[in-house]
Amino acid sequence: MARTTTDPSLMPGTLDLMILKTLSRTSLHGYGIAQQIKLSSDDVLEVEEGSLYPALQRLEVKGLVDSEWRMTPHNRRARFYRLSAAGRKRLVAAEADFDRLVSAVQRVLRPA
Amino acid sequence: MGEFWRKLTRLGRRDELAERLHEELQFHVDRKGSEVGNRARILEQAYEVWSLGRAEQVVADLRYAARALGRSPAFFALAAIGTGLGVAAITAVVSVSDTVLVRSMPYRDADRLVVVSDQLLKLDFPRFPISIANFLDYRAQNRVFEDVAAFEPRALTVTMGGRAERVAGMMASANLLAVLGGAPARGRWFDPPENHRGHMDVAVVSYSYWQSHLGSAKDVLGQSLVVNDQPYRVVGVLQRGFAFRLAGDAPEIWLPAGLDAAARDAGNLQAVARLKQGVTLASAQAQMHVVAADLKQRYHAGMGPHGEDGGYDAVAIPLREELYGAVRPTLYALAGASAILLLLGLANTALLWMGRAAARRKEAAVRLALGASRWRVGQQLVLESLVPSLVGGAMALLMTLAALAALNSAPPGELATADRFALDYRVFGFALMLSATAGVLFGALPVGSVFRAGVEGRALMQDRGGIAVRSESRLRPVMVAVQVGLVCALLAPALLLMQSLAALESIDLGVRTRNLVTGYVSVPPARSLDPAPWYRRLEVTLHAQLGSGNVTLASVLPLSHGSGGDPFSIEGRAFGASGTLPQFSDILRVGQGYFDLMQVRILSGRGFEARDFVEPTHVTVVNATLAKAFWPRESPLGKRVLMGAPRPGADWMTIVGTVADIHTTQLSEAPVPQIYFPYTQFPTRTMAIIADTRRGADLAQAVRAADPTVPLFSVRTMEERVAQSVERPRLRAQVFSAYGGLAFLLAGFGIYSMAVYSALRRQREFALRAALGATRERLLAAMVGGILGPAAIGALGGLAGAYAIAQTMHAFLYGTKASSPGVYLAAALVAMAVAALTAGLGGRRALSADPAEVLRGE
Repeated sequence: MARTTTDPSLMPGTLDLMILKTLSRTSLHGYGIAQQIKLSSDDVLEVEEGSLYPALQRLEVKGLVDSEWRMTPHNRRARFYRLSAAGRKRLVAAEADFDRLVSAVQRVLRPA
Repeated sequence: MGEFWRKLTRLGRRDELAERLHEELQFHVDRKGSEVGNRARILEQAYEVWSLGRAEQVVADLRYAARALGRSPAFFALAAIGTGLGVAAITAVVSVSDTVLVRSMPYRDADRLVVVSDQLLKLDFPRFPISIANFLDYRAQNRVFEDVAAFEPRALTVTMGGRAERVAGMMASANLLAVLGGAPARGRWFDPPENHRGHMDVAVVSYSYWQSHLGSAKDVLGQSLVVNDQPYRVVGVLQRGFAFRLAGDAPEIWLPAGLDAAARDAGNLQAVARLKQGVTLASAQAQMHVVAADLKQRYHAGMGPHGEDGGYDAVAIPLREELYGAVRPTLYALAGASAILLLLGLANTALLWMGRAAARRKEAAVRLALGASRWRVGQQLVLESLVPSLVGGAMALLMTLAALAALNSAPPGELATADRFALDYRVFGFALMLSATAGVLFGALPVGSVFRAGVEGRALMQDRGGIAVRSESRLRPVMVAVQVGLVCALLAPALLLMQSLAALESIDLGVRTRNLVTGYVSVPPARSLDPAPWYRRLEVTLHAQLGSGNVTLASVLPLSHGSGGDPFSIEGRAFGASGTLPQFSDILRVGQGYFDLMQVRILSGRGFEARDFVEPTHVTVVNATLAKAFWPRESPLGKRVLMGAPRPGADWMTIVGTVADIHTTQLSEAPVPQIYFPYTQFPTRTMAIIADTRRGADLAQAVRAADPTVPLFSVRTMEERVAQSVERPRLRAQVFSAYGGLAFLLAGFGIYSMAVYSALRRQREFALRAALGATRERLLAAMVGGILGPAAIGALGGLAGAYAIAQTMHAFLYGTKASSPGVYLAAALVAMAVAALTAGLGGRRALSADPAEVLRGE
């Protein structure tokens, strides 16, 4: 069986993971993504704009998300991000990695 | 890779991306109702995401270099073109040479294939067809070949749907395909019994013939093909692209060669053999000598026409030599010229860079002074030096690919090979590396001296007399000498070839060439056993339709015949006992009115008359060369000759006239002895029709009227035939003139830019001298004078190179000696004149500044 090679300091990657997960349901603009993460985490997680926007640029350069400019219902131009096929694949892998990591950490914290 | 690409596409539009990001952030702020933190920091991080890292620095430096070069487009274009031409020329020539001279021919294990040929050295036949009996003995007796196969090219008349067409054919022994290593695509090749009487009615066609003439029919096998009026059964189609011949067109139809044992002098075969594994050419050659000596002793093989010793021997020549030996000198000469062009491009690049060294040194010093790291400045200098070489290389790649594509789609000519020419990337890489190295060597290194302590300041000041500058002024005359030398080396061979071409073209053919159209007809044996009556009917029809003064027949057209000839006998003399030439002569069977229509001058006696064509008058006409060689002190009129050896029942022909020589073989070959016969008295199957072009359009129709099943083929005007015969010399002269011209231009620009530069640097000195009373003319003369010394030395060196190239050419120089002093003198003078002229022009430009301005400016 293949051992997981995930870096234990995965935490920086979790932002990317959360963005991808959020976008897997619907396409959103940056503000929407931040709001959605906040909502989904019951106000626990607040995404810093200073991390969010560089992360979005990074994901786009890597080809994991696509973006396009569209009008919002309030008739303003906004940039909407959408998960690409590569992003969808990455999300599946990253989710699995993350689950493995979390259960490993749990085993360490609460040994049976 | 995708990520790198996406970053690359963001390279040019970062400002736009940043603006978008701003808008995005503004949207966020508006929705959120408060600021988003440090926007500058976010932007910075985004830039980091977009960045290409190290590659980006290189790209930035390349853009910087491109901008710098863009400011002097003339310089850039010259450097790039100079490099590109040389790289393209050497790559193309070596690619072609490699295919032709080294790479495998399209046969299995082709370097073990040899052509076997007889020779009759005492009769001046270095190649002589092999008789069937000799061929069978070569096959049976030798121990050096896996097998020996026979072939014989023969033009065939194929009749299909009532239309007759002339097609290139090949008669072959059943083992030929195995010896060559070919295979049929459909059906089969010949079986050994099919080389014998009664079984020879089978044919194999080429893939292309199957496609073009048999409609790629699946059921082609067993179909009937009417060749020379005889039915043949198609038993096979050869694999696509398979071809074999030593010269001429690729055969479309293959028929079995008849190999029934016959007399030792019957048969007209050529042979190709495959050396056994491990057998060298030398030992094969030795074995052929032994076999030939044995045959000579046992059967008196290779006797001359009168029973004399013909000097018979048998030889084995590598197939590659036989196929491509003739083009080798041309390729060597071209390779030499291309190498010189490459060197010239490099020297030119060097001169161009040297002309800019001072300015670039200053620029580098400024950047260093402003705090740029040495590493960064160095990297930028190297990149800048590389750009022209790389752009030139890219141009060269395109040019070479285009040239090779053109060659590949051209009809096979002298370089006929089934192999396609492919670009030799090793040579291209090597040439490109060479020019890139030269670029860095001359473009970056001299500027690099700015890194040495103290030079920065000096460069910034007015760099006058620094170390680098002094070594440059020492290098400059050397580069001028090199350029002039290389121009000489290319110019002299070009002049030699042009002189040779002019000599060829000035040769008098001895016949009318203007306004004549020619074509051939061949009457199949099955049509009439004796071709004479058939041609008589044709002649009558032609005369009736075109007018008797406008058309005639001839068995041999000018410039169409191979060397050699046939032996003839003179009544009352032993064979070869007199005369300064071997007793061989071309036979020309001609129709009525030949001498008039072709304007062949009658020197003594008479030409043929109408009655010579209807009754056996047994008359002949000989040319001046034959008359002079065999009757040097008397008139040949009234003497009697006979083709071949005297034999019972043979009719001696009386010479009734002598005519001027005509060129039957090649322009470069002196006219050979020629004997004319009325075609009716000595008929042959294939004859040419010659007609005045005013009636040329009616020619084909007249032939059809005479016999619709006999095709008129190879229709060309006489002028086309003459042009065709000098096609290769002309092409060679054109190619080398192009090389010479390019060399001329490159060197001219190189020396010009150097002259401008050096004059600008000496502007202060000149201004001072002008202020002291020197005239512009004096100053210019001094500058030009300074060039002439190195130019003369270069010219001398270049002439040595030219002589070396000319040596490879002597095989195709006509009426021109490879050592012709006039040509070399002319080349040297022209090259030096170019140097002097361009130096003068460059100097004049620099001197156009007002001396007072210059002096004040410092």
